[in-house]
Amino acid sequence: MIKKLLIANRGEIAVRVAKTAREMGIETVGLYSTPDRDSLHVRSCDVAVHLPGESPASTYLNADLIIENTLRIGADAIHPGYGFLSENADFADKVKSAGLSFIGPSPYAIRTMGSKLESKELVKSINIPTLSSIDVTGLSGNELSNRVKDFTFPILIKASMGGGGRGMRIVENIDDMEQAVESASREAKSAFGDGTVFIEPYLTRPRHIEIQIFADTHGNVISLFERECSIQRRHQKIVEESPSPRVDEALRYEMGEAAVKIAKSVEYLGAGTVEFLLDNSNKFYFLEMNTRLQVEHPVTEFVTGLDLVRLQLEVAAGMSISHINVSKPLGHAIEARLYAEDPLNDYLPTGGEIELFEVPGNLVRIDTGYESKDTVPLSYDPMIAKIISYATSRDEASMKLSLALKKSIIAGFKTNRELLVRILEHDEFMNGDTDTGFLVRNTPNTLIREPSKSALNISLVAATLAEVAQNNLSRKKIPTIPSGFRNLLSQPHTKRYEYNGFDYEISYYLNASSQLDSVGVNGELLDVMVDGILSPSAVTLVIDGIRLETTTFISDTRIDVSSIYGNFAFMRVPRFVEPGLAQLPGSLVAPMPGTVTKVAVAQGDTVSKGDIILAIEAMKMEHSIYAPYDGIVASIYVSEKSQVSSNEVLAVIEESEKHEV
Amino acid sequence: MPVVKTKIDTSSNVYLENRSAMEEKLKALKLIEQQVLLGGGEKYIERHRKRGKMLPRERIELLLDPDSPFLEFSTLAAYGTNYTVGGSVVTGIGVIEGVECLITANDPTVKGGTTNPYTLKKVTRASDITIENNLPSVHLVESGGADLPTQSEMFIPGGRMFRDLTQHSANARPTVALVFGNSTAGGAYVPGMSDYIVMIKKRSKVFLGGPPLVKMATGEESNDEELGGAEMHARISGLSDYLAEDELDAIRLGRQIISRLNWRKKGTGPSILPVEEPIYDIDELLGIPTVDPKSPFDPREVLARVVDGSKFDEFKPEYGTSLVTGYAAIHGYPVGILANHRGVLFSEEAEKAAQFIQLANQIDTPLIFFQNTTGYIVGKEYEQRGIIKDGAKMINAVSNSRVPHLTVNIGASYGAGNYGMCGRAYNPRFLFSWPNARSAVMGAQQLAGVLSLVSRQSAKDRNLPFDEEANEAIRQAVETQIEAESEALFLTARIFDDGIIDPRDTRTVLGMCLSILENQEIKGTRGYGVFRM
Repeated sequence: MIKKLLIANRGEIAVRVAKTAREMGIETVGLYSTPDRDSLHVRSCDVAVHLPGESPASTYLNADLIIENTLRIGADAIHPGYGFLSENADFADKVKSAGLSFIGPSPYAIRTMGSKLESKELVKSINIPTLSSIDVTGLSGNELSNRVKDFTFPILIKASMGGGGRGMRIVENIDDMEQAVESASREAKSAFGDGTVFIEPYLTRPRHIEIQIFADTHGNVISLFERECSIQRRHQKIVEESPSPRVDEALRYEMGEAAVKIAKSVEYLGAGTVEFLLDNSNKFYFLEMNTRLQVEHPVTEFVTGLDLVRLQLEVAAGMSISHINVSKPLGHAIEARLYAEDPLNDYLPTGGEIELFEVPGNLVRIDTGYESKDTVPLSYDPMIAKIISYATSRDEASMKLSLALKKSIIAGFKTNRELLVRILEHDEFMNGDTDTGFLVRNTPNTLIREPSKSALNISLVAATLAEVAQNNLSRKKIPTIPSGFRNLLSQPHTKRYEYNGFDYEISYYLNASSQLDSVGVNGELLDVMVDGILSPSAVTLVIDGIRLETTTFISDTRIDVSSIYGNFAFMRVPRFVEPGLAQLPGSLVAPMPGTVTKVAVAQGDTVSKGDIILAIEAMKMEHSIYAPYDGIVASIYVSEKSQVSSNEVLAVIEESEKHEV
Repeated sequence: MPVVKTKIDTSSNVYLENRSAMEEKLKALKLIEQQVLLGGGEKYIERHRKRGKMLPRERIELLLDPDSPFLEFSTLAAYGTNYTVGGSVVTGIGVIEGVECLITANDPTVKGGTTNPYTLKKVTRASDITIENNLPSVHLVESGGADLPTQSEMFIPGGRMFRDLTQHSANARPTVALVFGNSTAGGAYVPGMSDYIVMIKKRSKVFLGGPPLVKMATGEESNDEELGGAEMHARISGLSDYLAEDELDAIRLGRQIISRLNWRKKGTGPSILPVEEPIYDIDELLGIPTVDPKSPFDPREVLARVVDGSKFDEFKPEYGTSLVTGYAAIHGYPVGILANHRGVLFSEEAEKAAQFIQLANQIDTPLIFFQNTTGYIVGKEYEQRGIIKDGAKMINAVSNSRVPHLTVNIGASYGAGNYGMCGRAYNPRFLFSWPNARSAVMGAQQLAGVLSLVSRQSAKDRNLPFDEEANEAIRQAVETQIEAESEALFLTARIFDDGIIDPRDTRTVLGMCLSILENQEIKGTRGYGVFRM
């Protein structure tokens, strides 16, 4: 029996595990790296152990230190969550050797499934189809025919170093093979300098379908049905659901059986996921098996009514799962992963302080490691939360999720929220007609549309009203006097906001009940009657007799407005700028928070347009800052390893013409 | 607490007639206000804007805390005179960095912002408000000094402007000058006498004499930057304390200065909380004042739409019923109220008022006078019963009361009734008029009639024939003249009040005044116990 559980993870999954453990009366022990010291997952555990340092290697990946602390604090089991040490067989070994219980399968199962090659061979050996790729560079004639004889057409030829479709060919039959390999190789050589080409079975619009399995120590292995995770960006799932709109009962059974068979072949224990690709003729191919709890496990929890973390802890304690009797998924659950990133800027990580984080909890389940005022650190995964909806039908579940996302307030930095909403409301998704190429076909730039003028105007008015309400509340003198009272009406009051690079000036008069009159945006009078219930956090607008609820959030620099008309983060343009704070022309600013990894120039250097000035790294991605024009480096404010925040001025480049005059 | 029960029937003809008459008056006022906003006219406004400059009210708007109220005074100054309506200056009280400040702003579109007799009267009144209510002041200066053609009317009394500034300073009422442009001669002394001075690069020019005058006086060649540019004053003369980049920056600095004044009000703020709005629609105030000024109306109907929760605790309701007295709150501030009911003040009303004024002094509570009086009663019976003595008690009480007074003329203010009900000469902290208000020594008809009777008597005494026709013509002419000179617009133009307000703004304006006057300590007169009368 587990009495005290150490959770060797951070963020939402640590919070999630702690929640169930606590429900079961198990004491919880958290871990935290130095930057995580005030994190929600630390606050969610009964006790927490500090792992000094910031890098994963010295903290959450530091197997020995974690085991040492587990022993020291008297915990009897370790839950690894996902990521970090969850699929590290050596770690599982060490945990066992230390006499502790590891919440997960045997080191053997982890090790076998951890190797792509080994797992595929194993799966092949039990007659479950896999996707294999074979090097065919320079092959022709019989040699080529022999190599491809196990494949069924069509076949996909791919360049090893390829990308963007170059060096890629779809081959329908064996006769075209030789010529296609040759031309693909030639194209690859000229485009990438490397003519290596592979073949792979070509799947038309494949879907990512995975089966959640569960196994106990009594030999029971059950399938908890499929999850579809086809919506991916850069091979990372962002929308997941169960059941899959494509999988019928027969296929579910077939895939479930296959997954159970695979699990049994490695004497699996606990929660595991077998991932498949499903082609458009409903043939499925084994991809890999994840020997841990998946990020997207909540959708399975909804449609099975099970608590998977509880099951994990129970089977680890030797309990049987034979009592579980779920014959089919009940209802429909969809999960969206909310990330601190900018989909319109190459998914560049954002992050920083979440000034306000509110999701309508009555609509959806929220699994998160953050609360308002927490900081989303740059050192870890930029996922802020998983938002999961559940309903009797898929349509209802997706509408609920989309509504919840729209009505949420996530203030402080850019997120992928808008992208998630657009995906959920896209015809392909609504029809259940998605595949792994969805976000390649539908790029964020095409999905995220400019807001309509009326949606923008309405949101600007809501922002203005929120600010008026805020000003009224913070007014210490005669607080009950109507806002902005004038006994002689002269010029209108104004507010200025910046949105997507444009400035908007909202002009208005305030009447005796602090309502806006004659509202204009950039001098154009709005053809609307604005009536509102004022509050800095929720503005109710009545526009042309239609009442609209908005959620608003005001910080020093921005106002966030959420309503069914969309989500807007308006930057507040200050009324006054202190002369010293005005940005010098030629200032280069950090596009995201991060660490300076390289400074390529020194003060006084002459640079040409496009020269690299410095580089910043955040979330393992490097972003270079280039000279915007020919000039001279007037100032450099950072050095290597400097931590910078978004929009911080890094350097100033003076345009050279100015010097010559 | 008792809530006033309204007897107004908003569908009655009387109400509707009253209302439409008031709406007409408000419409007429709106038109005049449009003229006020145009200052020196569109041509000069355009020229001013082309120089990248803001109008005085735009400057004030930015100086104030966003979305905070601003109470402007004497908006219609000089209306109907040979001078530009508005008096070429804006004065008012607004909240800057949480501090209620008196603000003045020259209107440079009117003859370069020069000071004419009306300007002087308006800024002098603003200065009185500064003194009486103990306020910091901010002056947005852009003035060429005296309006030279009219100097005889204002040069000598005008010296008070500068004396007041130094006395504000001496009495711990900080003064701030933001100099937006030329500030010559008299204009130069406003910044010169202020505690904090902000000048704007290449814009502010502060000198006693400009280049032409210097050339005339001493023959010296000079340019205006050398004589009085902002940078010169910041770096060489030291007259300027802060050097601003532009108008916006000057306003930012003005706000910064106020934020560091460590300003503490003497009062404790609203005390009757939470503040309840009147239960009746404030908008109905338009239909309450009667079209015929001779026909009185119940002031309780006004109070029901002005005071918190429409709650009014009447004092001596059965005694001297032509004057209503009692306690209420406005925006949470406790007040004592005196309001005329049936116009005439008799001995009982005079004594009731005197007693009530003493009571308010005893408990340091501000008083509000709602004037609608035709004056003290005349006639044998009343004279014999001592109406002069009783009226004197009331005037004595008003004159020597030390709690702040606010006066609103909601209808009429005639004769000594104007004095007893705290007319301008009795120094109410603020005095506002409704558009229908009138004030004079007596009614125009009565005045003309008195004149006519007197001349008839004089003709009779000297046995001269009396020209009935001529007398009637004169009588009519006098009546017309007096009628016009009794009107609110005529009086406000001469700054005999602090402005005409829309009746619907009464509650707001009084609330602001009650807050403003708390910058000064509120302490009633002490000495004797309250005389029961």
